[in-house]
Amino acid sequence: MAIPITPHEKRKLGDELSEVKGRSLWTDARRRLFANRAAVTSMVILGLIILMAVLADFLSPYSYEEIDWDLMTAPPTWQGFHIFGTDGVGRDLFIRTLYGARVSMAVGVIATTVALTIGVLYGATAGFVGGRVDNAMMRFVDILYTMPFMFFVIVLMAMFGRNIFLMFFAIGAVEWLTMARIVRGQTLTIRKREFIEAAEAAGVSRPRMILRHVVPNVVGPILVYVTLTIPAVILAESFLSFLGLGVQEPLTSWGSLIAEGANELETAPWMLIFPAAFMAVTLFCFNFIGDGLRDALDPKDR
Amino acid sequence: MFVFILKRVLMAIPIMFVIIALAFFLMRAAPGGPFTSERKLPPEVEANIRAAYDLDKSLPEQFIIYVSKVVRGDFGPSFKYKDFTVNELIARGAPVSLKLGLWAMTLALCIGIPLGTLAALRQNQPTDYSVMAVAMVGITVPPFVVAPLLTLFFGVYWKLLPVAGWNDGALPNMILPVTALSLPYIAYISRLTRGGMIEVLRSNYVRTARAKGLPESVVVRRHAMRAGLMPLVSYLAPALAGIVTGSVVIEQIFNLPGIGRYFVIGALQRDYTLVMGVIILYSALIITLNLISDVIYSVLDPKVKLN
Repeated sequence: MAIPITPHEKRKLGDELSEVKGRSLWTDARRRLFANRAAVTSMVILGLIILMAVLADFLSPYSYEEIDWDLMTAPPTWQGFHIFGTDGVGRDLFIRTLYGARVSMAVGVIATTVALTIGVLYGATAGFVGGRVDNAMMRFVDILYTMPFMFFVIVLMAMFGRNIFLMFFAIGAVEWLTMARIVRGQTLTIRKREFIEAAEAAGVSRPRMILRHVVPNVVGPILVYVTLTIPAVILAESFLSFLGLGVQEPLTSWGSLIAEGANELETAPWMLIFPAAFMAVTLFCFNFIGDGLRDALDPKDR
Repeated sequence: MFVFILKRVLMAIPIMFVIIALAFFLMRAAPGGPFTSERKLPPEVEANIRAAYDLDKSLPEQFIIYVSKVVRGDFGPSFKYKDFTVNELIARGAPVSLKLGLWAMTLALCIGIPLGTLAALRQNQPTDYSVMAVAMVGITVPPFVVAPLLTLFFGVYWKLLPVAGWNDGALPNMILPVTALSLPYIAYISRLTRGGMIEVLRSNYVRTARAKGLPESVVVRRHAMRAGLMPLVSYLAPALAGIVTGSVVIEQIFNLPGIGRYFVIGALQRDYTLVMGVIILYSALIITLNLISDVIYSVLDPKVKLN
C-alpha cells in the first residue's frame, strides 16, 4: 500500500534521516576517548612536553652542551636562569632535560615505527595466507620470543659502538613480535568476511589485498598497541642509556641523564629528579592514552 | 604430557644452537677484539696469546671448537678475568643473581596477587582506584630511578640499610635491591590479577557458588582464584625473563657480584666467552621457564590440551 507523501513531508523525512546519520566506529570511538578525562588530560600534558621539546632552543638561553663555568652542580636557581639547576660540569639541566625528551621520544617513535612495519606486514601475511605458511611463520615468532633479546641488544650496542640508528633498529626488532601476533589474530577473523571474498572474486592481487583490505581493518588494536609500545621503547632506551650503552655525550637522553643523576644523588638530587619526573610523566601519559584508546575502541565495552 | 615435554625439549636444542651461533658470529663481526689495546703488544706475544685462545684459527673452526666444548659443559676460559674460567665466574655470580631474582619474584607474587584480588573485589571503588594508581606508578617509574631514591632515603638519610654491596646475601643488603627489582612486577601482577578476577567474578559459576551459600572467602579463594589467576601463569615466564634482565641494572646500581654485572663488563671489554656463557645460561633458563609455565597452564586449565 503506497502512502502518498507531500513534497513538504518528503523534505522533513529527509531532514530526519540526515539527523540520525550513522556514526562510524571512529566517530564513536573519538567521542568515547574525549569523554575519558584521564586520557584527555594525558594528551594535553604530552602535547605540552612535546611542544617544549620542539621549542627547546627558544625556551632556554643555553645550548645543551654549553658550560657555565661559574655555576657547576648548582641547585635550581634564578641566577642565570638555571631553573632545573646545572650538572657536574655546569651544563644547564633544563635544556638538557628537553633535549633528552627529544632523543627519548624520537627513539620511542622511530623504533615503534620499525616494529609496527615489520609486525603488521609479517602478521597480516601469516594470518592471511594461513595454513602451513602461517604455522611456520608463527613458530618462528615463538622461537624468537624465547630469546633473551635484551642481551643481544646489549652486546650489539657494546660491541658495534653506540650508534643511535642501530639502537632504533635493535629495539624495533625486539618489539615487533607481539605486534605480529596481534595482527595475525585479527587478520584471521577478518579473512573470513564477505568483503575479502568479494575482493578475491574481483581479482585483487594478494599483496594489494593485504595492504588495502586487511591492514586498514586491524588499525584499532594496532593503534592501542602502538601507544603502549612507545613507552616500552622509551623505557628500553633509558635502560640501555643507563648502562652507558645508549646515546653518547654531549647528546643526551632521559636514561643518560638519570644515570648521571643517580651517581650524584647525594650532592645533587635535582639531577635525578627532573629528568626522572619528565620521563615518568611521559610514560604515565602514554599509558593512560593507551588505556583510553582501548576502552574507546573495544566494542565489548559499548 | 610426557610426549609434549619431550618434544619441547627436543625443539629447544636447535633453538639453543641458533642462539649460540647468532651470538657467536654477531660478536665476532664487531670491530676490535679482546686484545686490542692502547698499548701495542709485541707481535710474537700477541700471536702467542691469540693462539692460546684459538683466535688464530678461522671463524668456522673456532665456532666448532666452541660448540663442542659447550656441549661438554665447558664454557672456556675468560678472556679478561685472567686465571678464571667462565664456568667459575658463572658459579660465583649465578647464586647471587638467582637469589635476587627469586626473592623479587616471590615478593612480586605475594604482594601483587592479594592487591589485584582486593582491587577486583572492590571494583570501581576508592580501594580499586588507589591500587591501580600505585600500579601505574610501579610500571612507569623504572627500577633504575626507584633504586637510587631508595638508597638515598634508607641508606644515606636515615642510615637504616646498607647503600650497596652483597655481604654474602645478608638480609639487610637484600632488602633494597629486591624491592627495587620487584616493584614493576608487583604492578604488572596486580593489574593482571585484577583483570582476570573481574572477569571470573562475573561468571555464572561464581554466582552459583554464592547462591548456594558459600562464604565469600571460599568463593574467592577456591572458585574464583583458580580461573582468575590463569593469565598470570602465562605471564610468569616473561616476568622472570624480565626480572633477569632488570637485575643487570640492579646489580650495577647496588654493586652486587651477580652474572648481570659480569655480562655488562664482559660485553664492554669483548670478553667473548664470558658473554657467550651468560647468554647461553639465560637462554636455557628462559626456555625452561617457558616450558614449565606451559605445563602448569595445562594442569590448571582442563580446556588446554598439550600437543
